[in-house]
Amino acid sequence: MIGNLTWIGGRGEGRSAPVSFERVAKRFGEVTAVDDLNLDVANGEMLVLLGPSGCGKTTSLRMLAGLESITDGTIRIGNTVVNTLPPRARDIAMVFQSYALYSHLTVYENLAYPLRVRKLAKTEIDRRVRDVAEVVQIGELLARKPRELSGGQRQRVALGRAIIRRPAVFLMDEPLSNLDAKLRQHTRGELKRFQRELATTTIYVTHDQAEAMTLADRVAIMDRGVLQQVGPPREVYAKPASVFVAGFLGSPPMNLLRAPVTSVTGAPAVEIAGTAIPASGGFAARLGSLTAEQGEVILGVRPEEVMIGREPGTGSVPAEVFVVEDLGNERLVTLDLGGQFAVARVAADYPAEMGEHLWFGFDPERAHLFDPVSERRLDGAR
Amino acid sequence: MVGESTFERYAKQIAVVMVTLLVLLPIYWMVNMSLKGRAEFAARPPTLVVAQPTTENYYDLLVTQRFYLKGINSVVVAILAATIAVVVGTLAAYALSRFTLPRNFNYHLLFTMLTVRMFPPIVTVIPLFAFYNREILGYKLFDTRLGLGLIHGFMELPLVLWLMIGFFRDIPRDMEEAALVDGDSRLAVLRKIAIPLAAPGFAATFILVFISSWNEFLLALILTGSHAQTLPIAVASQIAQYDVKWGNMMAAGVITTVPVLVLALLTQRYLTRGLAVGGVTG
Repeated sequence: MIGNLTWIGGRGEGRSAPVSFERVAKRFGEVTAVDDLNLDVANGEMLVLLGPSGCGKTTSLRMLAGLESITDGTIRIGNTVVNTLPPRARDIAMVFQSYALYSHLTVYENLAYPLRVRKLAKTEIDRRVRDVAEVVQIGELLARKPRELSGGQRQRVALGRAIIRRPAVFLMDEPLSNLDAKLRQHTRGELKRFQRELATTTIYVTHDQAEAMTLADRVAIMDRGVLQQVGPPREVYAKPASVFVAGFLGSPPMNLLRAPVTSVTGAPAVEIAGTAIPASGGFAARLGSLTAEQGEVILGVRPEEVMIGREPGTGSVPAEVFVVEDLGNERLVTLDLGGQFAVARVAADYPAEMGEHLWFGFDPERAHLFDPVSERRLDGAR
Repeated sequence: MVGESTFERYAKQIAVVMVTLLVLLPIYWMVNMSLKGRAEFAARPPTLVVAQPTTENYYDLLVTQRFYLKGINSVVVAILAATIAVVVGTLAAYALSRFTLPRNFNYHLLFTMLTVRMFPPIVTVIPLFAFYNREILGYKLFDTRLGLGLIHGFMELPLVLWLMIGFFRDIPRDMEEAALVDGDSRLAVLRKIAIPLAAPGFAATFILVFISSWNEFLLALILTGSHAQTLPIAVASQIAQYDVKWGNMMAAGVITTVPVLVLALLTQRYLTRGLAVGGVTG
């Protein structure tokens, strides 16, 4: 559908460009919102900045847009250092969480706005507005004012206003968070198609991990102003670099258990709820990279990798069922392991009752280990 | 209201009527007296309804005294004052609502502006008089419409500033930032986004300054002579050395009141909407 927009990429307009953050920092007085951010976004890539509210993701995006000054470091779009350039000189387009449509203008005028600013010919503006309206399916709404539109329609206008001019970079600040769940999922898919067809560098901010996982070429996870990990969605899910990332991704998130490191007849072991689980192979090697004096490790097990059983197996721990939640297609069983809790994802027909005694087990080779002090991942010899 | 007795309902309505009458009575009395001839004026007790209405007071004012010239002065001065106050005040309010100055300077500036209004005007009027009588570049501000318009405008600047800041704060920041990203400069954003969205507030503020300048007495009295004299001074000057021309004075009052009343009625939609809420919603 984007292919119909013959003017896109023509007339020497800005082409997609890579973006780089180099040691970028933002401080508001005493508060550090973003600290030493280093991040390269490849040309045409869709990078999702993910994190809880207040993690600095929106501030990073606003610094790139030129809506926020930077305290330290360098931001580049293409080969240009944009540190002190005003937003209008950065060749970007942005979709805001609130959509930020011009409420006193019609949909047509909203779409035409970026083109009128650039003083394009009237006929050209008209052609583009009608083309874009077709693509984002708001052709029949052009004469309306934003307040007469539904949330989904407003979102489309905002998107149309961003793509009508082909910028070097698209910036999107939680553009789907004001839509209801069903529409959000639908629009998410469309957005992904748009981005791939336009092949324009896109930086997308969200706190919704499902959105991040489905949209991103790469996900960048931030917490308290610090970039925690960057990588393809599958990689950050499979190998979370820190306790924060491990606990943030996945629904329900990874179980994180504090386990004292002991030894059973000279071999290392971890202890959960008083039961020592002897370590071997890769697990032991990774455990070995822990500095000795801490005496404790954080053990991470994804809910789908928890093995629960009625009979004890090797390395299984006695547990009591704390609560059972039915989700229709599956059940979530929360287990009480001597004061620590772990969630197991099981089949919908798995029999479990509150208060029942079961056995908790996991595959040590697939388990994640984190240093309790630095909270970084322990990767053994690597 | 639910659970209201008949008595309560009537009591309320009567109270409303009483208050309305109380407010309207002086206006009625002014109109009433302006239509009385000299003979009827002397009647004791005074007649509540004019027995023999006459236009002689109005004739004397408008034809003999050429009162309308003062009216033109008032209109020019008030438009000048409102324009100056609204233009300067809007720019200042926009800057103060959008840019954060260090050390809480935004607040200090706003407060300082407000203290200007706390001075009794009589304190400033003498120095102003002296200043207005000095020739600057061969031009004196004393007894000019420009001079009076300027001082009226700047006197109302704090009011405009405080009102317009409220209106600008109601405009979603996102909308202006979207325009900045779409390629506009700050000034273009002000012109194309902020001002159209704050238009009701803009109109209300303009009218308030207009009315305040129209009614202002003290500065107009001291800073004008015969040439730029405005209506309130002309009304007061019906008090002659040996005689108060009551009929003329009342007619002058009516002539002075009617234009602002009409203006307020014509624009009451903007006035109430502008002052009640910012009028901006997404």
